[in-house]
Amino acid sequence: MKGNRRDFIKKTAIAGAGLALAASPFGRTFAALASDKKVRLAVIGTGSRGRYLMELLLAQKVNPNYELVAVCDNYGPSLNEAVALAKRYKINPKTYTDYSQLINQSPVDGVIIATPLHQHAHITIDCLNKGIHVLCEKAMARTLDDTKAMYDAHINSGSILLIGHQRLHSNQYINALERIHNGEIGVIGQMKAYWHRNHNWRRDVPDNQPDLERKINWRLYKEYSAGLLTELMSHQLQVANWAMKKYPVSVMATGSIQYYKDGREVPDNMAAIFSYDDGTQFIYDSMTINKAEGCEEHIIGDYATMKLESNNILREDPIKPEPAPGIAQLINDIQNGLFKSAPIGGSSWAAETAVSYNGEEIYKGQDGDGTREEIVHFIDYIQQKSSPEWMTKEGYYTSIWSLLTEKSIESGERITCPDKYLIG
Amino acid sequence: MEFGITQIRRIMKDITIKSKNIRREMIIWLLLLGISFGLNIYSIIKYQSQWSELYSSLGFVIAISCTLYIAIAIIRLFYWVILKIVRRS
Repeated sequence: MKGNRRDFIKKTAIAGAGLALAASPFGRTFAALASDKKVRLAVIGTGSRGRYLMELLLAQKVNPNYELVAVCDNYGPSLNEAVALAKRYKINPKTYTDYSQLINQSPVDGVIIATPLHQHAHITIDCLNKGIHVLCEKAMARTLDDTKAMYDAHINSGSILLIGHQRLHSNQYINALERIHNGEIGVIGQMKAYWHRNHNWRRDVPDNQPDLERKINWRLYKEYSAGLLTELMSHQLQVANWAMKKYPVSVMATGSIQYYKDGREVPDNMAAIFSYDDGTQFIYDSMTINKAEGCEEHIIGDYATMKLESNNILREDPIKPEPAPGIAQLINDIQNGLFKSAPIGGSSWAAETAVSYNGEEIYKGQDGDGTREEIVHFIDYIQQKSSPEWMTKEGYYTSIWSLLTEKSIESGERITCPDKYLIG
Repeated sequence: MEFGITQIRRIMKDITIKSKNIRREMIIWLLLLGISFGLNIYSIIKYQSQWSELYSSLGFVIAISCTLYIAIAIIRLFYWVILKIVRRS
C-alpha cells in the first residue's frame, strides 16, 4: 500500500507539473501574440501599489502588445511619481485626476484599478458599463452590496472583471493546487494560514497636511477598509477556497485593537475559523506586533501538508532515499549498537512534537508572487475577449467572506452567507 | 663516552623480512578478506539489498579487511611486547 501511494505521489507530481503548465494562461499568451492590435491600458490609482503594478507592466516583455495610454490619481504627488516612472520607460501617458474624465476622454480597452478599497466599486462599475475590462486590486469592495453590484455589472456588461489575487497566476501556486486537486496530499482535513507582521502599517503623512491622514492611511479606517481582513486575509482565504474548490458556509471571528491604540478603527489582531460544508476548517490569524512566523498557508491532508508560501511539501510517509549498500548498513548498525546510549528510564507518554523532517520543494522556477503573470494574463484575456469565470467568482466570494468575517467580529456571532449574495 | 661507527653498527642491525613472514601476513589478510566478503553476503541477505553489491561493494570489503588487519596487527604487537617483558623478567 505504501509503495502504491509513493508511485501515486510520483505520478501525480509529474502529471500535476505538466497540467499546471498546460493549464496556465501564461502559456496561452504566446498564441495571443498573433493579434497585432495593441491593448490600450490605463492605471487608476497610482499610489505605491498602483505604481508597482505599472512598473511590472512596463518592465514585462512576455506580451508587448499593449500601450499605457493614461494614468489617474486624485493625489498629486502619486500622479507625479507615476508620470516620472512612465518617463523612465520613455512613454508619456495622459494624466487625469478624475477617473470619469479618463474613461470618457481616453479610448482604453482595459484599466488597472489600485485605488483605496472603498473606491473600487463605483469606478469598476462605471468602467464595466462602458465596455472597459477591469483588473481591480483585491478585495473587491468595502461593502457586501457593492461587491454584488460589481459582479452584476460584470455579468450584465460582459466585460472582463479580474480581481487582483495574484496567487491565482503564480506557476508555483498553480502547480501546487493542481497537485492538491489530483489527490497528492490526500483528503484535506484542515487548513491553517497566518500573516504576522511587526509594523504599525502607517504611512508617513506630511507634517503640514495632517488632514491627509485618512486619505494616506485609509487601511486603518473602517470607512475605507476592513484592515487586516480585506488587505491581508483575503489573499489567503482565496487560496483556501481554491484548494477546497468550494466556499465556506460559516465564519466565527474575533479581533481587537490590542496594541496600536493610535486612533485607528480596524483591528490590529484577529483570528477566524471558517467552516466548509464537509466539515473542513480554515483557521486564520493575523497580527501586527510580531513577525516571527511571517506569512504562510498550510493545506493539511492525510497524505501530506503543503506549505504554500514557503513552497514546501511535508509528506506523512516521506519518500525514502535509495538505501545504502547492505555492508554499509551493517557497519552503521554495528556502530549504533556499540555507541548508542542505554535508556534506564523515561516517560511512558510524550506529546507529538513537530516532525524534524524538512520536506521537499513543491515547484522550481517561479520568480515573484504572480503579480507580473497576473498583469500579462489580463492583457491576454483582453485580446481573447474572455477570462476564466471561476477566477472572478474566487475574487467575489473571497471578498464576500472577508466582509462577513468583519460582521462576525462586530457581532461576536457565527455568520453565514445571506442568500442574496450567493451566485451560481 | 665515545660514540663511533662501531657503536652505531652494533645498534643498527640489518632487518630482513623473510618470505615466510610475508606469506604469513598475506594469509592473514586473505583470511580477513574472506571474512569481509562473507560479511558482505550476510548483509545483502539481511538487508535484502542487491546481489550486484557483491562486486559494487568490493571497495567496502577491502577497506573492512584492511581495518581488521590493522586492528589485529595492533593486538599482535601488544601481545609481542607483553611476551618480551614476561620473558625478560
